Amino acid sequence: MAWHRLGLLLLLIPLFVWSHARLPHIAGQPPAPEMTRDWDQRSELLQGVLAGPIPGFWADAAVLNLFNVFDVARHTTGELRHRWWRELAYLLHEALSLDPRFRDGLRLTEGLLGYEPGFTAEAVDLLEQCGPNVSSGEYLLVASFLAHVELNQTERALRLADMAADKPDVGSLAQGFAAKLLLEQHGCQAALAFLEYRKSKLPLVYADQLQARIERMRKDPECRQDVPPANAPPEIDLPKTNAWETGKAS
Amino acid sequence: MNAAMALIRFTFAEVFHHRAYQLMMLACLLLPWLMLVPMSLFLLDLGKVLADLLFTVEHMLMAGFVFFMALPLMARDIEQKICHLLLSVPLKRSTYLLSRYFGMSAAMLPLMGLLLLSSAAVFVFVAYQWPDYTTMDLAWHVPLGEMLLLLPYLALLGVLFLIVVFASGSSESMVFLFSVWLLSWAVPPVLEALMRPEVATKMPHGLFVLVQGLEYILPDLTSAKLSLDIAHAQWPPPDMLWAYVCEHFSYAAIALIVAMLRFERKDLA
Repeated sequence: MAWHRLGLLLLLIPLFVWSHARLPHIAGQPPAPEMTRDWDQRSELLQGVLAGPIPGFWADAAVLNLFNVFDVARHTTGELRHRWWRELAYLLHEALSLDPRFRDGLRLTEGLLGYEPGFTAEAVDLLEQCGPNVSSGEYLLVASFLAHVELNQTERALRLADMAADKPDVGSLAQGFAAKLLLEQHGCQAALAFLEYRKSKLPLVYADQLQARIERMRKDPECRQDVPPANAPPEIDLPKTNAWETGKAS
Repeated sequence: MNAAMALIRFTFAEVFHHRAYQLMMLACLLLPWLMLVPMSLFLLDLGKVLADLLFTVEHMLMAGFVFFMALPLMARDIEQKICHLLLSVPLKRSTYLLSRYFGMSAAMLPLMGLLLLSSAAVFVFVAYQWPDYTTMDLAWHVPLGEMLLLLPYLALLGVLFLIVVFASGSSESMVFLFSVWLLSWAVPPVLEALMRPEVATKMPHGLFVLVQGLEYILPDLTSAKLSLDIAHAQWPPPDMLWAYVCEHFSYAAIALIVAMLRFERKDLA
């Protein structure tokens, strides 16, 4: 009787190995998403409920899953590629709705979603929504860049650059970028006015670079010839609080 | 008093000599170091990810303790009438319940101590190894956060005593305790979503008042926001922390007092 059991066991082990190796995740062929999932309020609520006391871990798990999805998505084309990228966008929404300060999620939104045709607007939305939550201004600056270069939304790009300029790490870069946008769109006087405004929000000790930039612009022959545009400088929705005064940047 | 202290020590020893408990102690030492493996898969926020993983480990271990060590012990006491032996010391019924509660709470402390030490050590290691991706502050932020996350489980332990004195046996206790745990996990995010201005404005006024009342009285044992803030090395204001501590001790105390009232009148024959 014992031999029968042993024989049965020996038969079952290869059967288990054979069947287990053919499971999609073991065989390295994850199935394509059956249908696209769009992120909406219900998804946000559902993920909040599922995450319970561990939203941070749930956001981490979404980013880990995203690595798998990206690995497949980058090798696909056509409609299938779009489906995979929609799944990727869903995972980024999930990670950032649970933890809006998660820099890995923001970095991947910029690096992956931001430059994929058809998903740039979604990436800018996400960065604009979550960027103010992190201490670094790089994500807002990237959102500004994407809005200007990819979406041709200069007013929005200006607003985002101005928000980025409040953050200490990219302050001067964001100011330069915003000034360049203004220069392109509204001429030299508007750019100078913007830089002066930014300078007024900085303690004097940090304003040297900005002052030098203003001086360079004033000496620029093209800028000297620049006649203030007939229409007044754009109404930019500039923030009313000063980060340096409120101590955020200390 | 001596009898109560003896029962607290007895409860601690009873739990401590379980092999499962000793394995949990080993897990508290080793799991924080094992979490370095998933942490290394991430790009920038390594400290935050490690903190998330450690908080998850703590939730698993503490939930495991309440469900698989504390609940069977208490359910067995009442179901198999072992409490008769202990009550014949003589010991008041309410003292018996309190001593059991404090004994089990004390048994959580060695687990927490080991987890805190191991977590602090692993954060010091990570801060030296990858200084650009984490901050040394997390080496004391996360252990303090772990101490705060213990409070929901002390409250859940109180709820366990309440359920055990009402339930007919261990299966019923398990079902009810699991339901409470699941509800405290799932309900707060739903109520929070319903209270958002964009949703609240579309809701009939009566329903909104009901939701508001529910949010006020239902226990929020998840402490999700707290763990997220601490993982980002941001502490909530002290008055909020104080409220958090008081809230959880109140849940535990209310549950225990109701349990004692019921246990005084329970027919143990």
